[in-house]
Amino acid sequence: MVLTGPVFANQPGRRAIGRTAYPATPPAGRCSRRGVLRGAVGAAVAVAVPAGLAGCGLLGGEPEPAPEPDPLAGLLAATLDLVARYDAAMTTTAELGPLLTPVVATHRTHAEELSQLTGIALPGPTTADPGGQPSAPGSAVPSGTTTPGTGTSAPPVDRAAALTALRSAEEAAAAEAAAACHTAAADRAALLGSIAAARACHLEVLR
Amino acid sequence: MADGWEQALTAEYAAIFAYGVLGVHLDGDAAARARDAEAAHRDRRDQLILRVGAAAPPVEPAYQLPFPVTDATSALRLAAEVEERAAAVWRAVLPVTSGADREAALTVLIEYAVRATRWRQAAGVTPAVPTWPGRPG
Repeated sequence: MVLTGPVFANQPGRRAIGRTAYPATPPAGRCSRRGVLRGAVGAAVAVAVPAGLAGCGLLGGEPEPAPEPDPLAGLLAATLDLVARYDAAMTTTAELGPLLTPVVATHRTHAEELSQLTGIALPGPTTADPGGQPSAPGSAVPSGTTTPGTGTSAPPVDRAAALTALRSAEEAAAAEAAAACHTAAADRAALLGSIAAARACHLEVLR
Repeated sequence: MADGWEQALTAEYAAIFAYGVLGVHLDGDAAARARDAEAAHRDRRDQLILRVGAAAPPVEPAYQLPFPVTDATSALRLAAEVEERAAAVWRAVLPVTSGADREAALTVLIEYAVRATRWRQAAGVTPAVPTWPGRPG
């Protein structure tokens, strides 16, 4: 069952956004106040909690059932893949930098918004960043976190081939966002509609 | 929800009016695209009139344009603005629809957003794609 109602009813200031965004994932294996509170709310409201709280049942013993993934988890992951694809293309076809920079910036912004919406943290930066909490507000989607199969010394790709590949990826991404919009809760529909529209528009740019 | 469809209809009236004003400043390929765009808005207007029925707002003799059109460049910019504003109205319909209605509204949002991008490209406006097409402000 996927919840769309507020997790904590009757708490002033707690904005229901379909799925409460947890600002940080507690360290695995540690019961937090959130876990105790969840137990107190009890059977009246089933709660989606970060995986780190699994096993912190109030009564002990029985592990909690795995939390249901946010329906937009897949879209967020796919958006990050798209960002990685663009980063790789800008590495292998440097001349496309000026053209692709605003496009990938838009995808990053969308990923950040989806991260905020779902409470799913963005991946951390690959460079050493001891204080880095990727889910903190204003965090940027890091560049170059994953390069899909290009290896460390990919041969340069010509402009036409690179654009064709990106168009194909963008088209698939647009369809995915549109499908997500079709079935989304009301409070997410407009946001997802804009994402789908932006991707369709990008096809005009990728020429 | 009826409100959203009526606002969409008013937006289509305004778009048709705007294209009538800006089209005369364009020629060649741009003029043809403006005629196609106006025809698309007329079609959508007709669909909405059928849907909204007796509650349809009246068409005004004129609609206030966001800026004057004096040449081809301002005409292209206005065309982009018209599409973006129409896109915003259809985006607003998404949360209050579901199923086939929402799919139809998304199709329109996307169509208008893409047209806005093409007009922006023709006008040399950057970026050609806003971060959130159809999001007001």
